[in-house]
Amino acid sequence: MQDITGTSNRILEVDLSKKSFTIYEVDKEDLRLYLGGKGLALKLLYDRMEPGIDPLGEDNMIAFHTGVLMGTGAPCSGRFAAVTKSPLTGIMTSCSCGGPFGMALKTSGWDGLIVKGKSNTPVYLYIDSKGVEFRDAKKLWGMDTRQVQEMISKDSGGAVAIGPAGENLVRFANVASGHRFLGRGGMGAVMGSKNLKAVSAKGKEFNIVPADQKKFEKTKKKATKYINSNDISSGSYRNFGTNANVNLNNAGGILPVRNFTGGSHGEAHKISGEEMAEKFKTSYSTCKPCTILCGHKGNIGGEERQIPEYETVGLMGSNLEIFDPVKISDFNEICTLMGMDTITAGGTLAWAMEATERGLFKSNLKFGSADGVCEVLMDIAKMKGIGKDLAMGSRFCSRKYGGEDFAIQVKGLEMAAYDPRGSFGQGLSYAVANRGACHLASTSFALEVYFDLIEAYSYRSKASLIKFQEDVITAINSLQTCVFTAFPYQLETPLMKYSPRAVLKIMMNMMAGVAMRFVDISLWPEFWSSVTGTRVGMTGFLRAGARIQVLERMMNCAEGISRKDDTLPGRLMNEFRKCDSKERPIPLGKMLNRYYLIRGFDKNGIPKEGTIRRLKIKKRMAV
Amino acid sequence: MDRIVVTLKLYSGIHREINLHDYDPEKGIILNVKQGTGLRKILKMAGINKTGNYIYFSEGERISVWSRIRYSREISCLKHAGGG
Repeated sequence: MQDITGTSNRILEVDLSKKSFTIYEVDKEDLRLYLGGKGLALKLLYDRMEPGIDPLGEDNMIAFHTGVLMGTGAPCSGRFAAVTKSPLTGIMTSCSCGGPFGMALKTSGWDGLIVKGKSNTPVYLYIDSKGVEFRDAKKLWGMDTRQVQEMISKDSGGAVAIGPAGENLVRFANVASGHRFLGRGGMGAVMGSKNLKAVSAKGKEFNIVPADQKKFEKTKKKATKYINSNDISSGSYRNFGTNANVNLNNAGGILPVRNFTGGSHGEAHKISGEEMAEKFKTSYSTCKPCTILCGHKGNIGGEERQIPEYETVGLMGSNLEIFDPVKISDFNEICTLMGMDTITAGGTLAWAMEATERGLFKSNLKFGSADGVCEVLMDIAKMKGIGKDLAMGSRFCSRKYGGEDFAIQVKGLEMAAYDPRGSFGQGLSYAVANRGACHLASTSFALEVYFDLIEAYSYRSKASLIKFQEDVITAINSLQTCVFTAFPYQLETPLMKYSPRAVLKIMMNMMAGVAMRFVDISLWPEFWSSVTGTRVGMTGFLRAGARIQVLERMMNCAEGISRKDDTLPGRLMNEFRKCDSKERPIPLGKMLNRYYLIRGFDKNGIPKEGTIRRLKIKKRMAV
Repeated sequence: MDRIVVTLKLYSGIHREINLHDYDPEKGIILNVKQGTGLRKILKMAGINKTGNYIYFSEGERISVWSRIRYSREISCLKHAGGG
């Protein structure tokens, strides 16, 4: 088997309309500036896609891209990114996924894949080191995500595939790879609109080796030690999965309850990670390679199933006032097989339940009852009956039927399971996140509620914190390593571990901008440098994160996004909850002004020319 | 001095770590203490000696082990997690 040192810098560009492909050589300067993964995928689409195109039209493209660590055996590096224009939000969406496709693509000799055009008939792509085969997918059309992956797995190391929801253009259809998903923003519908059922890659044709093996091994040893000694990565996640958050968020008053009208519930412990671990006798079922081991499976109702993740449990459980873990697992299974995002599905169902209660929408759905939920989920996947409207998401439904204040979404993307009324920084994070109300752009709730390092009910420091976290997480998502490494890699460094908490807290609250400069994020750039052989330091790594963040914002601004869209749903701005000890409105305006200032945006939220120049973002180069 | 009732609810498998084998998660640990007792002292009474290993919440907000508990209430003891 031949070796690839770090990256092959080769990308496949597939035109489904012409059934042809070309090979694109990545410019090494672009790799250094955009790091790979999400960053490079965005840059490639920025150069190729005009603003204003129809997300479900032939001109939309979907880019899959691996990170430089993929295939090297670095901890938690088995991830790949996909970027496209979202049919749910009308702006860019990017997702990170831990399934086997990334490894198969990279070890077939390709760093990435761009798909454009539309096939006349259903096809799937088979990729090996020679290029692409266009295979007939008529027999696969209609199959669920699991069946189709089984059918095409004989000669493949990993695949991405859509289910019936993607075929039927459900706006929040996702893309499966193994039992992991490119979840948010409707990438499944983009594939469906192109008559593309799946992409499989042969894999195992090349070895991926780091440029500086000695430095890489040293960094890997340190990273593994941090992961195995950190309470979060080696404790909560490993023992209880992401559902360890249920009890924590319930105690901290940020668990979504009854369409975000409450922040805690007396029955929440029934759907917690602790309860599920005991009840379902869970074992590990994770991305590969993984050192954290947060993904779990268990025996549910007599069959082995993947344990639903926290976001699913929050949005399809407590947010619907359903506290039966077996029912939530049933909803999760339907979404898994049909290929639908559980966060948007849960958020849209909650809107439908409340709209039904208020007489705005006709359905049999009601809070606290699982009756009819499975049927409605199937109707959504098939675009049938009330499912036809619900398949468009809560923004569309609320504009059509009323109830915009309680459609819990930002820029058309339904909110994740952390109520910002208990974590003001998270409010800013949701408002400015590029793809909509996403919890993975920055995770302010952790520092505000879990670690109590920043005052949750103050606007102070929030803009600096959110900018810093966005830049770090964007860079991590371009390196394509798991975002959960953020906890051990930052918290186990000597400065964070041994500094007195009181000092950290004062620094974070009073001088956040200065405090962030002392956070040691060196492990990620050390990995990047050892694999590529090109040095990037902490400043360069952060700057790359900022560059990618601003590039995505520019692409969204070209679609009409501005300050008016950086907002929160009416309910979160104007209503208070029983669990709040006093009425505390989220000071979004103040936080936004400060955020725009330090980001280098104008008052309307548009990146300034100087910012674009400083970050070395070149003008669109039509390719 | 008046006495108050504090209910400690343990999560994240903490009851196993402190070898509390007959812990009832529905009821929690009910302690009758003097008004104004510090949380650290209450935790030690419940058998939680390594108080720094866990985080504590009451009425939806984080409280420190140095807080004084002045009225009857429920306190949740958990381990850190990091989001989903």
